[in-house]
Formats: sequence, structure tokens, C-alpha cells
Amino acid sequence: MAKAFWTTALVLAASVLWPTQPRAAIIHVPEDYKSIQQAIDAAAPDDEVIVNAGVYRENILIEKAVALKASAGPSSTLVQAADESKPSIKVNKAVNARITGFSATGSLAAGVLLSGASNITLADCRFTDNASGIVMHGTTNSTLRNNVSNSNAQYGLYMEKSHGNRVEQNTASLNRDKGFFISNSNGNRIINNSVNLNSWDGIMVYASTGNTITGNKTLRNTYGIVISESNGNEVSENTTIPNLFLILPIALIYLGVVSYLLQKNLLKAIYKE
Amino acid sequence: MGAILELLNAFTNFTTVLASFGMILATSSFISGLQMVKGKGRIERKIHRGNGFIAFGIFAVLAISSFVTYGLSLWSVAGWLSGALVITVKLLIVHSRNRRAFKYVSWLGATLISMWLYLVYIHIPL
Repeated sequence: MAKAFWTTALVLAASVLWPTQPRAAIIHVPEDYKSIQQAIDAAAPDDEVIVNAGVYRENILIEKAVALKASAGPSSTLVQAADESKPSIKVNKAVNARITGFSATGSLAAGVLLSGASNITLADCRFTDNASGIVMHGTTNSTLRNNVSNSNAQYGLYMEKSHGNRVEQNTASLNRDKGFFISNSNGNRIINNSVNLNSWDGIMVYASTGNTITGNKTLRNTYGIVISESNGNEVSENTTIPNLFLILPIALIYLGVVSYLLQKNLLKAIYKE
Repeated sequence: MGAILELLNAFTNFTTVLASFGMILATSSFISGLQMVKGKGRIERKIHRGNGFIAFGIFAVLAISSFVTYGLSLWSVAGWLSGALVITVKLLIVHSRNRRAFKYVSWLGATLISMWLYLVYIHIPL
């Protein structure tokens, strides 16, 4: 009897005193907070902020390990820069933050700026009509996956002094300077991206070492991949054929001539001219 | 080999196939049109008209599919209308049978070919 009493007491004491991991809270916008920034300010580290579809005119600043997620995806959830001179979304010195499913537009700085951050995940987002789509400055060990950064005034992705990042399956097209500009950044993996139809270079690597650039498509840019003042980068299995598609219209003109001759001979046989 | 596969991959897109077919017909129509200017006969006229009208139909289908897919924007409407304008002016000149205007027809034909080149180029998927 005494043994059973002491066992029960011990279990109860252990369950009360044992330090349990606090559960991450889920905050909804606009149900819990009207603006995304208010929700982020109220969130504790590791909380999740879920944003419903809509247009949010604000400049979002993330400085902690929150997960920011647009429930309806980038086609329905837009962050429009309230102050054009600032990035639509800025991640400043945060560790382990996640951003997924947003569109960001209208910034004369950047769609999203990752500054001095590490272990950031940016996925399934869309950045159009900004000065640059994605800007990374002093950011390390982060992952950019499946983002679209099109039609920006300068770069789809600008990476400066950022190391050990993984950039995979993103699209950067129709930007009016370069698709990807990797500058002074080392040990990044640029894998399986589509970087097409940019006004100048598809992918430019400048003063950087130890980067892996593989499996990317850089079609119909002025230059496909440019490596400048850099060494020790691995560039392999990329498709860089800027003018291949000029062959197609020429082949079609040839087929047009053949088609004319065929029709002429056929009609001659029919009408016996 | 990879480049050829990349090129063939372009033909998995319906609008690319349609634009390519239009380009072939427009070229046939253009060559037969040049032969007509030289004074050649009714076979050239049949080829010119047949190919030209089908190419115009394809142009209309491409324009409609573009509006359905990407919506109406100032530049796209202006672009497609400009193409339609070139075709209309060319038809009007031919039907007017004005000898002075006739010398510009081959220029309009060349403009139409350039237009089709552009149409093919922009419809190649990436």
C-alpha cells in the first residue's frame, strides 16, 4: 500500500515539476490581429502566423524565429510595400524564420530582404515589380525554394556576402538586369533554377568561391552564366543556350517554302495548268 | 542532344504548335504573293488566299487565347491590334486594285512575316 502511495506521489510530482516544452501558438491574420506586423510583434519565438488571402499594405519586419505562412498561396496573398523606400518584407538578424506562400510587390528596395539572418526558409513566394525580387545580405545557411522573382527593375536574386545558402527550383525571369547576381558570396548551392529572358546575365557570379551551380536553365538571356573574378566554383549540367530558339523560326520558314512548293505541284496536278 | 530535346520540348505547348503552323502558312502565302506580283497565275492566287486566310484565323485564335490566359492589358491589346491593322491594310490595298498602292504590298507581306516570327518566338515556352 505504502509502495503504491509513493509511486503515485512520485509520478504526480514528476509531472508537475518536469520542464515541458511550451507549445508553439498559431496566430491568424486578420482574425487575431488586423495586420501581419501586429501578429509578428505579438508572436513568441517558434510561433506560427497564418495569413488569410488579401492585400496587406505594410512593410513587414521579422526579427525572431517565427513561421509566416499565407494560407491561400501567393496568387491570393499580396504584401504591397506601404513605404516604397523599404523592402516589402525584411528579415533582420533572425534565426530559423520561415516565410511561405506570399507575393510581395511595389518596393524600390526589395521584395524581400534577408539581412544578417541565418537558417531562414523562403519558399513558394512570388516577387514582382520591385527594385530587386530577393536580396540577401550577410545571410547564411538559408534555403530559397520554389520562389518566383520576375519582372523586377534590377535583379531576381541579389546575394551579397552571404554564405552556405541553398537556392533551388526558383524562377527568375524577365528582370531588367540580371536573373541571379551572386557577389562576394561563398559556398552556396544554386541548383535546378530557371533563369530566363533577363535583359543582361542569367546568372552572374562575382568575386565568389566554392559555389555549386548545377542543373540550372538559363535561356534567352544576353549571357547565360558569367563567372567573373572568381575561382573554385563548380559549374556543371546547366542549360545555357541563349540563341537556340532562333533555329525554330528559321526552320519554320524553310518548312513554309517546302509547303509552298508542295501545294503548287499538287494544285498543278489537279488543275493541269 | 540536350539542345535538340529542349527544342522538341517546345512543341508540347499547344500555342507554340499553332503559332508555328501559322508561320509556315504565312511563309507559303508570302512566296505565292510575290509570284503573283510577278504576274503568275491562278494557282498562286489560290495558295496565297487559302494560306493567308487560314493564317489570319490562327492569328485570331492566338489573340483570343492570349486574352483568355493573360487578361487584357494595354500592351497586349495594342500589339494584337497592330497585327490586325497590318493584315487589314494589306487586304484593303489588294482589294482596291490601285497600282500606285500595289508596290507597297510586298513590304506589308514582309511585315506580316516579321510579325509571325515574333509570334513564334514569344510563344516558345521556357
